[in-house]
Amino acid sequence: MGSEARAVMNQEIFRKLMGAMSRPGRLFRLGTVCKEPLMDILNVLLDHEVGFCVTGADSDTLGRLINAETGAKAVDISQADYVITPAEGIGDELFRAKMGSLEYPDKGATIIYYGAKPAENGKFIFAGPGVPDGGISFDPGIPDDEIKKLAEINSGFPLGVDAVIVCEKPALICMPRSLKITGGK
Amino acid sequence: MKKNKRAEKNSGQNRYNFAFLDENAKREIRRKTLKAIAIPGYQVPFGSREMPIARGWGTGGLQVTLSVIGKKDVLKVIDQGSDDSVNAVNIKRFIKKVTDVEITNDSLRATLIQTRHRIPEIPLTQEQIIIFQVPFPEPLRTVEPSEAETRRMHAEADYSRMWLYLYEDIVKCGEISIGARYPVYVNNRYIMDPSPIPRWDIEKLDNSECLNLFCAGREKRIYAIPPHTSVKPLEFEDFKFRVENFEGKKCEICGCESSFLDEVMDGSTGARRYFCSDSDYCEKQTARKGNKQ
Repeated sequence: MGSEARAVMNQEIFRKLMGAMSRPGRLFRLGTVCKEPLMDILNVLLDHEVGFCVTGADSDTLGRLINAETGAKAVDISQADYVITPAEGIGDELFRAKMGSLEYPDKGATIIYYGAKPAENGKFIFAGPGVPDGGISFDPGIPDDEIKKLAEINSGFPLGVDAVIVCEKPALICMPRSLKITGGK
Repeated sequence: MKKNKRAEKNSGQNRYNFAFLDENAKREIRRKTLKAIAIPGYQVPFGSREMPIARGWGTGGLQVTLSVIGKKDVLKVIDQGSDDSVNAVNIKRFIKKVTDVEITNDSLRATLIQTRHRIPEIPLTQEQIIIFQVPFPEPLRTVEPSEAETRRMHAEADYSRMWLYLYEDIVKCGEISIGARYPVYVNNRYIMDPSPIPRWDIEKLDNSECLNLFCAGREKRIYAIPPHTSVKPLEFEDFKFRVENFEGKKCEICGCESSFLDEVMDGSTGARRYFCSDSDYCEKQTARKGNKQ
């Protein structure tokens, strides 16, 4: 792919990402914009200035590929700006991800889940910035336990992590740390 | 034919990367913009680039616009509500040269609006993004000169000195004397500088449909207000926030009595004259009146 075509594709994907981050719970379809959703999204965000950590079965292979494609460094999860994980989630490891500091909450990590299968109605109610009054319910396609852990980590807003959920279709949903999550019992 | 090809090759958009900034610069601004959206009202530091206009002339807004803009976008740039003032025209020309996007004056048609100190009168929709040029992003600078200290104050949500400043202002002047740059509470957490928009525009930020992005190039800060976010001006229970009063005044061009008006002094007679600040809105009102007649 030529550099200009790549620049155009990055811009189109970024607009979807920005739309999803500012309107949590809404599914943004990537359509024909990208062929490999995860790698294309990582190409928009990662470069030599950031560190990433891959978890899951194929973490070594995927990690090498991401490093070769983006130039980003593979680091421990406690140092990673981006944590890349299958939709099954990372369980308690999530608590080791960077949450930022009160002076610099933007240093909190972004967790990127891939291969998710979201659905319209879920057990949880999401409210907060980007969500119309009354909140919305959706199933982001990651395990309930993982959502509860995200809610726990982000309960100390502005500290926390932001989640980008890359779906199989291809599409994406975001769950910024400002999202208030209730329900799920 | 050869000459035309050479001219095309040397035109602005072919000599530079699409939208002027290199992809690494865009990547950093995009990462920071996403964090700004995730933490509404918090100022995210970023590496502001040198631009072909001087700092303080909209380099922040320009950098965010260039990182966000795509070939399908329709761009509008306004300066104090006007589509035709120098700052707006220069920025439009530059962006057109490096992106070849469509430019419009129509607030409804635009998908991206870069603005210096006004929000269009027409309510913006969820399809639109408004990008504010910000001269001073730190609302606490009035009460605290140290960046380290204001950062601590934001971290601890320690805004007592700001409240005290407003209280003292009322005691001294009988009024909160801040006109433009009126501080607001975003998402009940951060006090934010909404850029020097008039008080009139503050309520348009509250629970808005569109995404609001703010960027200060000289001060190297990006911040954001996502759609459907609570934005409240600072006020006391017994001293409420109020907007500019244009009672009994109307625009001399379109006759509108419900828009934000610019006051112009007539040099020869000393008379005060009033015109709509939003030039597109004024043109539409005038055209509508013309059609009715």
